[in-house]
Amino acid sequence: MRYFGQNSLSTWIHRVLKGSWYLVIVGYVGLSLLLAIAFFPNLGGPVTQQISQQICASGQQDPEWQTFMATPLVCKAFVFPYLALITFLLLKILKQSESLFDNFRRNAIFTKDNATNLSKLSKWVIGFSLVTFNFSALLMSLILLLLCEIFKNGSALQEEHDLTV
Amino acid sequence: MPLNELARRIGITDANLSILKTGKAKAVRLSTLEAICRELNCQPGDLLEFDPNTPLSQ
Repeated sequence: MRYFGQNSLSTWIHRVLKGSWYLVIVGYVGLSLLLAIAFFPNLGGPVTQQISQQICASGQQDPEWQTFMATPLVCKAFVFPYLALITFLLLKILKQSESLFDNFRRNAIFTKDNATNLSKLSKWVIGFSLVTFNFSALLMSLILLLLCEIFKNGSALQEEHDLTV
Repeated sequence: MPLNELARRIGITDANLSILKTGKAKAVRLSTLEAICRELNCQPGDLLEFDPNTPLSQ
């Protein structure tokens, strides 16, 4: 199996990441709409009222959903900026990864650009892990930081190799 | 002698000869140096010089 270059594993990962980027946007818009309908059933007339009832009926067995719906509307409204922040971080992570694998598929591996990409990616992952309280992602970002240092050294060696006549 | 002819005789690409000519090269292989000296009929000392005022590129 080829890892770098055209029609390699990197090409496929690049395509998956590109598709995921659009999926996240669609998911964010869909989820925001559903939450808006659940919180404000009277906004869009009888259709949204019906959808809101269905959402609330499906969440009746879930005690966490019941507790959440019992909180005041002002508190519930904080879900929207929180969701937007998580989506923003996810999109940044996906875009940075996409850029990294785009370089891999063009056979540009040990370059300064990739080291910068990895550094930025690890910072976005740190942000994501702190916002979502996901500390396994924090461990992943540390591994990414290590990889970034390896790529920095690798790009220096590659440059020296390329400029050796 | 044109540069592309020199590059061909030394056995390096035109791009690499350009890197050498512009001083961007970080290192020169002994085999390349030997080939240049052979083709230009000179000694390595004729090609290389130490200038204490020129900082080493990082």
